[in-house]
Amino acid sequence: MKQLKLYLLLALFSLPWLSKANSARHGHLLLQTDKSLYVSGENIRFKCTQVQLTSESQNVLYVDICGEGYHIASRILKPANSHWNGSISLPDTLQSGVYLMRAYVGNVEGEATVVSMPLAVVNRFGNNELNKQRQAKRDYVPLVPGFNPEQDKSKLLLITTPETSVKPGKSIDLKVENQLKQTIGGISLVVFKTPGCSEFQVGATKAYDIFMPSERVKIFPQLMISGKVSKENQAVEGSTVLLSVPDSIAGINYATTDSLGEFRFNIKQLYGETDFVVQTIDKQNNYQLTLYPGLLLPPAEIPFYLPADTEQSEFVQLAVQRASINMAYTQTMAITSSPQKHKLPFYGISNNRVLPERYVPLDDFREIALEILPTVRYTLNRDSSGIRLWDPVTKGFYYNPWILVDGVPLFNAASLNVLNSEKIKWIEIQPQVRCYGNLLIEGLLNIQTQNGDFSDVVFPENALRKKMDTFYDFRLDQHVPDKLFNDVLLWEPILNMNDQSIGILVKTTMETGSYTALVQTIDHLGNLHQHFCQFKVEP
Amino acid sequence: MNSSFFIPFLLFISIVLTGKNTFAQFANVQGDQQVDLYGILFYQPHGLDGSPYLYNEWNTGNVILENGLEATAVRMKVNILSNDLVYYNEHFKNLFIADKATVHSFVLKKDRPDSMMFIKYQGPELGYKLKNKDFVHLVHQGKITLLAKYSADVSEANDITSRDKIYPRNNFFILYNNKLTELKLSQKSLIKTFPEHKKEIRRLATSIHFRNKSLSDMNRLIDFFEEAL
Repeated sequence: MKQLKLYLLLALFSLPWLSKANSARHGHLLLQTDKSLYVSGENIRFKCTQVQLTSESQNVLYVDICGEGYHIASRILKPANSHWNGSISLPDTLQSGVYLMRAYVGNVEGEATVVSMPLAVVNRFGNNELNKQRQAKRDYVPLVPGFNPEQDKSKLLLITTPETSVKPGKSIDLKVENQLKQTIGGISLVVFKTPGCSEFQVGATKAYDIFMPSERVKIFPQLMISGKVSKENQAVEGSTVLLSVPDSIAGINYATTDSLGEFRFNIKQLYGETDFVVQTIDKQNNYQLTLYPGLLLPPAEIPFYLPADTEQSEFVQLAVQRASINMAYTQTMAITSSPQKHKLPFYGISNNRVLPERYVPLDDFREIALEILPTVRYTLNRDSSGIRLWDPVTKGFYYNPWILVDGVPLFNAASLNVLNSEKIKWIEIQPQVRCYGNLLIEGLLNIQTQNGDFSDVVFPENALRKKMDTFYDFRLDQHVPDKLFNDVLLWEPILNMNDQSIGILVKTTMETGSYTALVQTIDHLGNLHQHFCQFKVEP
Repeated sequence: MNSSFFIPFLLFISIVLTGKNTFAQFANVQGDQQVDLYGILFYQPHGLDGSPYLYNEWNTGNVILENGLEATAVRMKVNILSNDLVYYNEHFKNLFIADKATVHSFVLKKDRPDSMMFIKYQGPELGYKLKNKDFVHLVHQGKITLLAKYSADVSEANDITSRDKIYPRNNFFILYNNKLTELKLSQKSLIKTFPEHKKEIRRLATSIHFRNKSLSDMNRLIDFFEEAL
């Protein structure tokens, strides 16, 4: 009995430690790219896998390419079964050198899990001033991009080919065998050109922890736009902040500032670079609005440079020529924004739409309200201006209706007067009391201008405007026709492996040289499995 | 110290110290982002005798919007006079009508055995009785779809002292092979819709002890019957 009591005591006191141990798990990310050396203007195709499945497995992934102290390009991707894949373009003017490619996810506390890899880029016009400057710096080391054929091969994941050599333009047969019971993120296959002799590293298995942790920058599991409202450097609590995007279909997002004066908006269905307008509803006080950067701060230093002999090697020069030819003859990928499903204005569907073009041209909004908007009373005085809307159903006025221009709320009626018939596309009136979540709308007037970009009226007070990246949907990329010369013959982020072994036919191009076919995957324990085989394309 | 008091005391201390961890995993709500409903201010009908609602009491349910988002734990009532969904907005402590254009479907009495799924009807119309965009109760969905539309008529008062009276009216419909037919809750009506399966319907009705005017019995009958189709 005494022993039983002792065991019970021990069990009780171990409870807190047990629960903490169970709850303390962090996943790691594996970042893979289709090759290790890029020419400016090329696209980097990548795949990122969550090595250990945690609650972060379904988070938004941020991918960026940084120079020293600046961002070059970025992507924000939605998750797909604990992995993400997409592509990111390098600017054509990017100088030769070593940059940093990072992929990161966040947790609910705003802490980021980051993986990064150095990225070797060669400028196709020969601009390598930046690389020369880095070479001159004392602590900077040379980075030779490539694939190391000495690395370990998995015994459970195999890729083989019966041929060691194939003629240019012909296809080669590859066989992939998988004996792993379970994989995370699927099996990826890439077939790429390798130089005759050099040491290379493909993928991002090498950890490279240069990023600037910052209290200001928080990365969350969802795409968030966050910022702060302050007044004379004091945080403003309880202020309602609106987020809108100039659009013909008015949408709105709202948030209330917390005790730190911070607000956050969760962005769900916006794609591409989006123009945001953030403002407070309160215009009586003079507030300062700050938007936090959506990406981690870029590193201050990237202590690598591309050695001169690598830059001038035949392999690299051929890569530059190839990229220039492909750019001249291949259409570029266009990123289009995905239309939102069933997008409705937040104030509902209105049956009151007026088109000024159908009437006599009128010089300002006061005349427009007077002549063609019978339910709108527009008062324009030096001291006070306002709009009242007449509701024919309740037979009463709404004295504080919402005013939108291009879907963006405007709280100063006086600034409407600059809009004349030429500038306005249509005017919509919603004479009802409505709610959208916690926003009460007692009548609404929406003016859509011909420009549609909220540039025709004075920018409101206590407001900020900024262009930011939202989701990237790689499935919307236009089809790129087969290139004449290609150093990546196949990039397949997820092989369709219904059986334990499959055969894949890869078509070579006219370019001769050595090629490597590499398969990679993560097993359910988080171990990386990779295997490769090599062949030559020669006449 | 008495040992019979010591262990419960330690248990209490342990729970207090670890409560946040121990119970947080049960109370931990991931907190789905609030989904905003589009609402129109609802003006309560006055001067009517009878209830304009399908159920007088508030029920909790989910609303699925046309944009794919789902608002959960919404307190709602179905207004049978105007065929609208009325919901309670906690923030404004007021009632709003969910904008029909934004609603795809909703579930009344979610997670209960008597939960009811309402959809916005799209299909062949039947005069004034069933039109597109009407909210209908999806009773059964399979080869045969059984729909119920709950509405009401208002009968004007005969004298000054009386009030207008609400008379609830239920209409049932069968959708089969894209053909819509009105149905009464009786064997005879079902046989009229499927005359070639008269014997089968009779046999099934007997086996389930079918009662006329029972929606649940009609649901069961159709459930068995469509297997024979």
